[in-house]
Amino acid sequence: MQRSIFVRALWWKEYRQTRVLLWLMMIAGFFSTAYLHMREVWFASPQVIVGLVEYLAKTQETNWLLHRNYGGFMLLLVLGGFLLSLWQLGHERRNQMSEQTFALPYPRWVIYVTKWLVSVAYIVFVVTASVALDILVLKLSQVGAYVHVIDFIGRGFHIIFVTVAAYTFTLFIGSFTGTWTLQAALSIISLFLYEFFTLMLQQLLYIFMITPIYMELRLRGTFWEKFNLTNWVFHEGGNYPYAFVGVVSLLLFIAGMVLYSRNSLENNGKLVLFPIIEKLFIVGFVLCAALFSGNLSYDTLYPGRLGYAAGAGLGTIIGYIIIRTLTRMRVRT
Amino acid sequence: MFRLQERSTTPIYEQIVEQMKALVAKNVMQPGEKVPSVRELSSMLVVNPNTVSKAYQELERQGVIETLRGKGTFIAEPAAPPMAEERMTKLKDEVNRIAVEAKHLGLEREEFIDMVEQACEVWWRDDES
Amino acid sequence: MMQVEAIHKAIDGRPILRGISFTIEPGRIMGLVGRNGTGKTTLMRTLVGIYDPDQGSVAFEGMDIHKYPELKRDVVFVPDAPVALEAYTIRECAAWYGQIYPSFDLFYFTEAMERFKLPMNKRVRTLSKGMKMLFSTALGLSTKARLILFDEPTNGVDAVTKKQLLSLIVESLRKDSSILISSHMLNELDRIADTVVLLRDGRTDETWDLEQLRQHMKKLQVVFTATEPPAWLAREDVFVLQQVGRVYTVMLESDEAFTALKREEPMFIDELPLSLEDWFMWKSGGDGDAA
Repeated sequence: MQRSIFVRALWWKEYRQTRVLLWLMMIAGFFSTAYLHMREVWFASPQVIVGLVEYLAKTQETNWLLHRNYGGFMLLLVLGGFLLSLWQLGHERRNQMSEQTFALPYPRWVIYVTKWLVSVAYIVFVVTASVALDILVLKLSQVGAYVHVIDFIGRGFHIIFVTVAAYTFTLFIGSFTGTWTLQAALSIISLFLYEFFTLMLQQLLYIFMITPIYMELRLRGTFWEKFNLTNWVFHEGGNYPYAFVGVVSLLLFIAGMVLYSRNSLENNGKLVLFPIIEKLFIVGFVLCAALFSGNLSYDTLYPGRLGYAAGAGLGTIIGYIIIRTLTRMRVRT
Repeated sequence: MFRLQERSTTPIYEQIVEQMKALVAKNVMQPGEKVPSVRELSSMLVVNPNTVSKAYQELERQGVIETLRGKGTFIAEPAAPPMAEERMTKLKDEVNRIAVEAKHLGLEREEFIDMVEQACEVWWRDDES
Repeated sequence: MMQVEAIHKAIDGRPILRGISFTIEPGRIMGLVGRNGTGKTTLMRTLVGIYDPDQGSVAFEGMDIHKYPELKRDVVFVPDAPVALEAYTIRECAAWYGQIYPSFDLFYFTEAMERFKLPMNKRVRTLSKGMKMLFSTALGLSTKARLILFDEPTNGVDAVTKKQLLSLIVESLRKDSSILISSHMLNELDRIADTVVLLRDGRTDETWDLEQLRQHMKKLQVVFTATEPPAWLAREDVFVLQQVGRVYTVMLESDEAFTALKREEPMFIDELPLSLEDWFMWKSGGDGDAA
């Protein structure tokens, strides 16, 4: 009995399927870190470099050396992780690839864990390599004396944390969706879900005279504000909720693992693999459609409760028709 | 060497038995000569190996071939064939059956004997020359 | 070797398998026959743990294959086309299978590829349909797994390749290994299978031993004296394959039926070669709605 979760055959398969993305992430990493610094501290005109050194000597403001550019680096990595999850789950549901995977002599949860570990290895590798190269570039330049490696390590850790969390989230979505298109769509939608609901609910409350429009919805600091992919990635200011994001990611990871090992592959090509989740999905979709068209009707046709209610009613019907058609559809696999 | 009849009422294993005997009778295969292994023949004919193995068991029982442990299967020396008595009885029955059929078809006695002679031409050719 | 017990499986609320039970014995080639769309692929995928059964169980050497996936090192499924491997080269596939299956025989595999003139660095995608099947059959057999399942291996393959493919399969059989092969092309299973299990309406009635089947069954051409067709034709163990005027082509399942036929004193009786196809026509309900 093979007890190890490090199965060489599975690592090879995952690497072989996604290696292109590893190279793309490496290239993206280089161009969003070391390359930018090379242009600033190596190839810029001598006056600019001298100015830079003088400024650093005067203010000791070394933080910006890394902060300014690493935002883009992180976003590219998050995108990379998103594509990885699409490739590993959604894309595998095509061409009988997941059938082949499930015929292998390994437990399904090991397969899921391997996918996750391979991606985490990619992310750690890309961040480490990019940051190390960036440190090297800076150290070898005239501003070398002002580079504090510890800042870079801290920032590197943060990027790894955020990227892995976002990747875990999108991989979780892939564990119950039947096509890569819905996995992608749901992942992207979840970025806006929080904003959408706050806006829509606020409007709803206002129209039905429960609270005035200027009163903020009391969501700040609640679970719902934190459980929000946009906040995970674009969190501004200090106090990043590491503990919260970490715990939620861990739970999502476990949930994804459980769902994946219960995947019924005969449903591949449908929107959602599980009938219960499909029902939830339909309810959610109809709710969004109702809120949205209620709002739309209120704003454009008839600004009153009646207009909102009529729009919401129509939205419910149209939304339901659309989603029923979509869930009955099946992409040939 | 072997050719199976697609459309025949004779079961495949019997066809193999008959053809092996025919090959020996025609001296195409000499005593001591190696015959294809079960796996080789089954692959050659695209026939289930268990069918071939059944045919070989029958051939061995009748003393047509013999298996030497670890060496393979060979055409047996034509010493007094085993079960001669049993086979002889069966042969007599067969001849009898054929004669009945010939009579029923309205053949003359000479015509039938001619027919038997013709068949013998093929199988006893070497002995006469 | 493998015991399949009362498998039920519905897809999209439609029951596909409704009680499948049979046993695969070691050292035998078993044919799985059924018309198109009867769920042969669904069944095979359930046997190797790709699909989970709604009810019932699949046991390999007494252990549930859905609970112990490591059993599948000895149970290999060869689908009707190697689509999942298309992006890889033949060499990569062999290396990968070598990592998965402990008894993988690289020597056997490379020899087979040489015999079929398939270069190792060729991508599976670029192979022709027949070559793809030769490749995936050889790859599956190289695992030396004790049970190998082939899903319609000869579907859409030319005659020469078909012979090579089936040769490869029959010569791989060992005393302690078995093969399950599904097909709707019965004439090719006729000579290579020991037993046949018929899938019909999502159910399997029993496993048929082909050797016994041939002993008990007869295919005859009969002409009756009377213009009225006799009641004999309506017997349970008699099946009319064809009727042209007064000439009937019939199949008999028992010796009693034959004795009874002689008592009818027909004008003419002639025995015809029996094929699995005739039997299939009968048992799969040759009631005109041919697939």
